[in-house]
Amino acid sequence: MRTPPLAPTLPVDMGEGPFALTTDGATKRYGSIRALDGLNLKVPFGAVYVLVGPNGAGKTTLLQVLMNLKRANKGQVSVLGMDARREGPRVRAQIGYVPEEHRLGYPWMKVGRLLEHCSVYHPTWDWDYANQLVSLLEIDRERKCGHLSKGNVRRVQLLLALAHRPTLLLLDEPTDGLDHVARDRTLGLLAGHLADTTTTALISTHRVYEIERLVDHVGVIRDGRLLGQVPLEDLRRMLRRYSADVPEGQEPREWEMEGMVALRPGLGRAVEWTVWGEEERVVTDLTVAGATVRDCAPLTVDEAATALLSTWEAS
Amino acid sequence: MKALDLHSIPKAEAVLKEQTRAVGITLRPLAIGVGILLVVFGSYALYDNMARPNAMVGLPPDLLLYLSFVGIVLPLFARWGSVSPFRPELPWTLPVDRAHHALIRVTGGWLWLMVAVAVLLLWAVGVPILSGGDLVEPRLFLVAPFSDPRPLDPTSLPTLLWSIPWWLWLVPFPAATALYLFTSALFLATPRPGRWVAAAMLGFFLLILMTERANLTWLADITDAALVPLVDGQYGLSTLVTGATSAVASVDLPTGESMPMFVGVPTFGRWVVSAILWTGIGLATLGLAALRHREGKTGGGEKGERKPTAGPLPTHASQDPN
Repeated sequence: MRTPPLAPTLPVDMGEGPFALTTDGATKRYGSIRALDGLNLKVPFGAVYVLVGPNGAGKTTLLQVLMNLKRANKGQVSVLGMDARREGPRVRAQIGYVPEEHRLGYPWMKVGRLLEHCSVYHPTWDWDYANQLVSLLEIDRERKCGHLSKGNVRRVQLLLALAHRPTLLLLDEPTDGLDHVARDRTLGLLAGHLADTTTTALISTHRVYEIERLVDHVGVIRDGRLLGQVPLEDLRRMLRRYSADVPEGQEPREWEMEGMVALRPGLGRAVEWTVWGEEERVVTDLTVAGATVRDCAPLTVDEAATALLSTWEAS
Repeated sequence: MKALDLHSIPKAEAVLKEQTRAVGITLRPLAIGVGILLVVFGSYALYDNMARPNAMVGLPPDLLLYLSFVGIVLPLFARWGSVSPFRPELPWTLPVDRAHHALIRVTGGWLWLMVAVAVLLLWAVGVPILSGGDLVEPRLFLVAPFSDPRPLDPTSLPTLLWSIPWWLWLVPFPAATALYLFTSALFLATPRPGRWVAAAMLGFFLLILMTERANLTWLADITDAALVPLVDGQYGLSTLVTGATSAVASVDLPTGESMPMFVGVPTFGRWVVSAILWTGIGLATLGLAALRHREGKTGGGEKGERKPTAGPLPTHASQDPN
């Protein structure tokens, strides 16, 4: 086998759409640092798109640019067909946003009053739904926002994001700070919300395993660049772990192959590959090279993200 | 194919009403504290004045000055700093243009400012009146021309019988407004207004120190030429804040008596011009500061921008319950 480039090239083209969110060469600089570097994101309508990447990859900045809280220096940012930079207020009217920070803005206000406050800004605010969320998330309306714990702030932020029935959800670490029970409830709530509505969601998180069952698209971001974005079914089909026995005496390095993400020697002659490619082609390559393929299984999104990011980091 | 049903943005009147309420909630602890102090001191003053009837009720320049300072204090207690548009706080994630939102918030605060000034003015004047006092009787003043550098002969100056004119009761309102606009503008212009104020004060202190220690008379002259008209000029800050009633000097007459003298007569016209001028400058400063947060600008984007590209919008049921 020849030695291929270690980091595989993932597809970024998502076809013709329709898309709820697109960025075309979006660039955001902070001095000499490029938080976003010509990023081309495409989130289809109705998709639940998870954005994975290491710390400082640009995920939070991307969400802030989509909200027009920060302005891209270059490139196009389109939200539901609107230019986010020119139509910020109209764009934000369609979005339920959970920011990364655990702050509610008005520390002196009681939670109940904050809900009334935000309802004025969203003519589509659904009080019945908001009240349901208050009991489901066990939110105390009488507590002052400034006295809430990190987890309770997150619950209120989730409520504020959902209660106006947005067309689009931008969730930045939505379960950060939540305890086990609250996390489970929140994820159930999100699953119900996404199942009952045509809402599009873009979720940035390091805890991909928590939202795995909600997700249908995956994007990988690093150094402000989108390294790949694929539908989940493509990810499961193309990125697989192969277990095989190789002839004795061969070094693992000799088994490097095209699209290989990881190679892990096992016991004895067993070797485990994680490869991006069509299963048939990979199995054929391995068999022709003399290996006996014993098993082939798709990766979870969390495993896939870890494998891909580790490979890119190493390369 | 039906077009996507977009949610509407809130009406400006609704946002103004809500922001006024929100600022009111922020100011509530301050209002309660000040209210308690007014009741306590008011009760004491009533008791004290009743023991000494016929207290005179006036509008001394000091009182007018303190009332105008409410315009500086209010933005601090309304926490302009902690909900700064320079940070991605919740208010700025709401569907209102950030610059407009900031201006609406300032307008809401201004309404409370007017209420606060009215209450304090009523208290300051109402307490002595309730305890049996009378308005200050007309007094005779000498009137010196406004800017005459020559030594004055008091006997050659005209006199004026002056009592509190009706417009002097209005002076604290535009004065507090102008100071409020400048303070609010500072919070919108910079994420760290405290540093700017400290730096300006330090700079001023160093300037004074330099002119005195190094005997730099030319620098002192330049500073005076710049600051004196700004503060004590015909339409300067002192006219705005005290209606020019602070421009009073005591003059010794040849008879051995002393007499108060106005340097420039406090007139309605002079005060109105000053109020309009300073409020206008305040509004312009606030507008310029708010421009920092306007949306819709491309922020260093490429020239000749293309229209955003999105695929055809799907059929979508309206989620608007209205």
